Amino acid sequence: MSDDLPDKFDLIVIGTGFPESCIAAAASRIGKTVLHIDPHEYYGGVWASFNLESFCALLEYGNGSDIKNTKQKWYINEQLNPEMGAEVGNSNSDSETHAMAEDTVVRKPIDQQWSREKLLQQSRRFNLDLSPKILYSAGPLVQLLVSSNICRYAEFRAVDRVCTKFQNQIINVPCSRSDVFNTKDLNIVEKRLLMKFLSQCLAFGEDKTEEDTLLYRGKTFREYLQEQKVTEKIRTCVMQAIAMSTDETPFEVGIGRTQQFLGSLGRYGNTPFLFPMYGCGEIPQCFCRLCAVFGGIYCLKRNIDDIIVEADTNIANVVLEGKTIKAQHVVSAPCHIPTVLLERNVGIYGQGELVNSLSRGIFLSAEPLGSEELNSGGGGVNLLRLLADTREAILIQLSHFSGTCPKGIYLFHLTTAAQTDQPEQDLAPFVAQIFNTETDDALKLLYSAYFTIMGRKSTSSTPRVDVSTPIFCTSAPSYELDYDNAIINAREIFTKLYADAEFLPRAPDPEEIVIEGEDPRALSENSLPDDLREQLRELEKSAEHMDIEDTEGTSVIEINQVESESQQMDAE
Amino acid sequence: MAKTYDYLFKLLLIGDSGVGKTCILFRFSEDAFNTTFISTIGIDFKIRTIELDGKKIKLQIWDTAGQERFRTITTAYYRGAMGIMLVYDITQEKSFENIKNWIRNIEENASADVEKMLLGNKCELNDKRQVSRERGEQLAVEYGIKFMETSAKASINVEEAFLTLASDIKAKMEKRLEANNPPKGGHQLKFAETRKTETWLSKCNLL
Amino acid sequence: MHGRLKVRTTEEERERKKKEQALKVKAYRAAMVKIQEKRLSHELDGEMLLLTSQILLRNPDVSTLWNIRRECAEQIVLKTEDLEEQQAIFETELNFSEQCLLVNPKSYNCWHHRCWILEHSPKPNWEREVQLCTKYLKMDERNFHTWDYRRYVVEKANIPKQSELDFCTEKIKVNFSNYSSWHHRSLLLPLLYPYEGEAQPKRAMSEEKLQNELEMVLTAAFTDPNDSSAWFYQRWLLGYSRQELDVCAFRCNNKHAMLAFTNPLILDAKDVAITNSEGTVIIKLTNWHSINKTKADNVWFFSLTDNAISYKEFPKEAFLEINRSDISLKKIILKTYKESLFYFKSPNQQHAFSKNVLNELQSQLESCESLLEYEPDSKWTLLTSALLMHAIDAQKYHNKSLENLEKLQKVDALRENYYKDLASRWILEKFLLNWMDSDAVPYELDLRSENLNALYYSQYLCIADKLLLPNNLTNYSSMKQLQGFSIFEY
Repeated sequence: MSDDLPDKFDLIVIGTGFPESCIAAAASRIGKTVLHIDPHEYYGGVWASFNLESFCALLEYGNGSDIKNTKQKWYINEQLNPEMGAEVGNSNSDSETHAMAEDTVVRKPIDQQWSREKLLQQSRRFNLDLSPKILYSAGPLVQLLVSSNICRYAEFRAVDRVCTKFQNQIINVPCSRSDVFNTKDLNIVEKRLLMKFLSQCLAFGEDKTEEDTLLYRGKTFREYLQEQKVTEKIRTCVMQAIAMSTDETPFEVGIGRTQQFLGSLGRYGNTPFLFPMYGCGEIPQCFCRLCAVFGGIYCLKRNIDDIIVEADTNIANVVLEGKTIKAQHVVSAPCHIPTVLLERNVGIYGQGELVNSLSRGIFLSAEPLGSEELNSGGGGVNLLRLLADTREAILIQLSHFSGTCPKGIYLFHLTTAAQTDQPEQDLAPFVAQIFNTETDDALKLLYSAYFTIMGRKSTSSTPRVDVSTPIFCTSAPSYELDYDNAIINAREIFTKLYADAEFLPRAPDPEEIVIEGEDPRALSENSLPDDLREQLRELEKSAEHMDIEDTEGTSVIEINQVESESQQMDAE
Repeated sequence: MAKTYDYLFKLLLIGDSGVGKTCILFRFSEDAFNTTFISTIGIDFKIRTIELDGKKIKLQIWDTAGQERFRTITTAYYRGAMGIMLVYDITQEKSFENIKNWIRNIEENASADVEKMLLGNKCELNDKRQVSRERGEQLAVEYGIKFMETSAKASINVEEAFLTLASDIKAKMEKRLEANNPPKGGHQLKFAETRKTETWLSKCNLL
Repeated sequence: MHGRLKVRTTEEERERKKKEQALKVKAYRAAMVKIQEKRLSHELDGEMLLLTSQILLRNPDVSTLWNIRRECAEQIVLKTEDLEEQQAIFETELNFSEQCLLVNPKSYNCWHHRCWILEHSPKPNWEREVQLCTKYLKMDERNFHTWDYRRYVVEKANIPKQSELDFCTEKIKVNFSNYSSWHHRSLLLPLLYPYEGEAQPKRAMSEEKLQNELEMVLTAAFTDPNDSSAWFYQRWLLGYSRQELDVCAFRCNNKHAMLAFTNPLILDAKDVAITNSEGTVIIKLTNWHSINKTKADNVWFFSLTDNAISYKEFPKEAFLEINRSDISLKKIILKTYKESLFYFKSPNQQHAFSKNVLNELQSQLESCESLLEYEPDSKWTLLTSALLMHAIDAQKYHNKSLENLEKLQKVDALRENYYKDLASRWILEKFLLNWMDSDAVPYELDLRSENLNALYYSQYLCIADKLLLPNNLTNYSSMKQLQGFSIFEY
């Protein structure tokens, strides 16, 4: 539709992924006019989440250029009848590896309780993330959400359990002191040692010149741990799950992560982590909402034909389905930059070659991973970091409590940094650790999907960018637990656009907003509670026969009480 | 900080641009009507605490932030909503026709048991009426929801509409609580909730 | 600019708040004046309830207003005979106090008001109150107001003690730094699992439960040794409860008699007599005096001369008969020393723990010891292992447990005297145990070579003819009590 859009904006943002939405919100927040477009009909780009039906369709037909190497597979029948033989979804990847995978998995007994039809009936209960993340309760995203007041648009579930593999078993990593108290995995001496070790880490580095700090400088975190008086089990918990380190992680980094872990404890739940209710696809939408609240205009399912930069003014003319709109700046997700621009070699900040960024796996099962104890109360959000040689992957298990799948279904997200254009192969060593098909008690899968998330990376062949270009390209999701790099990326581009402006200052609460024409200092009677208003009216009526000021002497204590009370109200 | 209410209800206003959603919001929350709003910039939601059967209920009423214009309301907007006011303008036939689309949108994105109510706003402009009261009632019956004609300007039925919606939600909620099935919920992050880092080692020492 | 957002500056906000505050104070004063006027004219009506509620909803801690509300409720209830209507009046009060609890969940007044309402209402719903407590303990598991109130309503609602114990266990799992819930356990366990063994003093609860509790509390203590709540509970479990009331010493010569008890009591004229081996009462000892001239005392004095009783009247084989329901031992055989009779039982003798508990204690001691290898200066571990050793076998571990206390005086110098006192106590216990079987009893108590910092068990010392104290204790404050015994000193 050719609509009544203004023909000029301060900023046009293409793509509604995390960094784009973040920049759009930040610009709108400081009063810039923002047009936010997405060629897709959904919010989030490669950061989006989908219901089951749309997800299957996305993998079947693809969505353009940001999701590739897709492959999906059902392990259950179309319908709940005894007829055997699993159907296989389409893929646009190598059919040979495909067939092999089928051979190895199909032998498993098929869960009689679920059929493809039955799952698809509940399609809407699924929120399948393309880029799932876990947030540190005191990490950069939570800090940003809180400081910008965007947190009011989302709800979170505290991650229920942090797990690790120890001697081929999945064990719970005790996080909080009540966890340490309740766990049966550690004896009391181990409990004491773990608590002591963690307290020590927390205090570490307060004084940079401290003897201990100097002692381990230049060493690895593993070396440091080995010199501590802790048992092997504790060492594994700390290395794999708390400090999120590998054998090569430097001492300072390991301590830093341990401190981040500990600093995030005791805020919301038993673990230091949060997961957004209904999936991570909510997060970019929260930023979009803020952008809209401050006047940003939203258009989905609009294609950008071209961007022409006026040489003299450096203004970008964005051609939006035939209509040209002017903008001071354009920010685009890596995959939405019109190919014509690349052909013309237009300078784009942050531009790079399209490469494989993340190898992803999504699995559905009717049972959770690990012991019953790890999934008490129907299971929740469990986090498991996996290691294989020098590589690592993050596994997130989600139950229906997270609002991402129906009751009775468990959703598993597996993510690793892409090595090849075959995500299944990249993930194979990790899949083998968790869905071990050799053993009898192996998890019965209902569905699996693999895909690659693409991103741009500057290489030596990337053309040098003219510093004055008005076109900026954001980064695709990288392999990280939280949103650290994504926020750095958004902040960096924002600073390029508006050097002196504050990045997402706190949005006012509704009661702080002044309505036009109102004296900002005025106290509107309506803002007082009903009964207080009533009392004041009463007071005015009886004012004649009551000398109120005279009571001052007798009610000093009570006035103090009123003060403390109103402070309470203020703090609310 | 102790909360000073028994229930918190998240309510949404949905409907075409210009049907008067923001005016309804201001009429209910501030008892004010201001025709100078051209859009709803900066207005996220409004809060009003009401009392029903001795229970304090905090109503948090959300506005669409202009995202209804190109039908780009985020799915996140619908999350956790317990009640939705579907608003059309009785002087705009199109806004009434679009209610069906909005309901489809709600069915796709909101929780299945969300309480809905249909409002025909601007009922003070009877001479410009394009949608009869009966058609409004008819549509409401079709969807099994309640209906009212309102005027934010003349302050007709706005209060009543919100109180009706709130008490329907409350009844539903109490029924669920009785069945010992408390609503699931996640954490809301708050400014005040940034406790000190050493809480995991929280201490209370006498000796 | 049109449509642009305007937010109040902090200055404007402050000014607005100030105005609001002033208005609130004004409204508050007006209401208070009105309330006083109405009360003077005995208008205890619905309007009065409304006025008080406006203030209490903002500040639930004005006791006067709660009192007025109770007066109002009583008045209004009088107006109807109908139980349903009366109930409704109390229900409203109940709902109101809950609103106030939302404002301040630690308001003494609110919780107390609920008790009053429920006691007065025709149909109190105690189960609902238990649920309310559960809700409030979920918000703050350490709110002792709620725990107190919970004990009260649980009793009324006849909630099984086992389910209360389970509830309490859940709360400790969530957060064990919780004096209130440890305390709650300490009240429930002895009732649910009473001790049926022989040991004196009695254990707090059955051996099996004791073992569980010891395990749980040590886990808490090891998880966070800096949290004192667990340690306090542990010490209660290990037997730091009051000693059972018992006779601990008796001495009688031709002039006086002295009778000492483990704990103070009021000694009645009919309580004590001397009998012969057949159980026939020979002499009634009726006219006892408290040694400290107090009503209740743990040492009592009797003058034979004043009561015209001759020592010659005492039977050859004399027994002390105690006729008190609170003392289980009724007949005590008296020993003879020269021209006097005596009885002595040293304090805190070995508690015979069952094998299972002993094993548990032993394994806890081993855990402590292995931990001390990692952390030799850990204060709580040192103290716990000392306490454990004392509980397992005070004699065997005497020196070792004192070594721990000595170390504690160094690593926790702030509490040096606390550890010295504890050591003094254990030293004296051991001394008295040995003294009991020595030749010196009851003639001489020579404590001069003992390393004492304080003098515990002073009532035990009363029967000695000669008490020799170390130099540092000659000016000790409890010497005053000891001087009462000097009558035996030659």
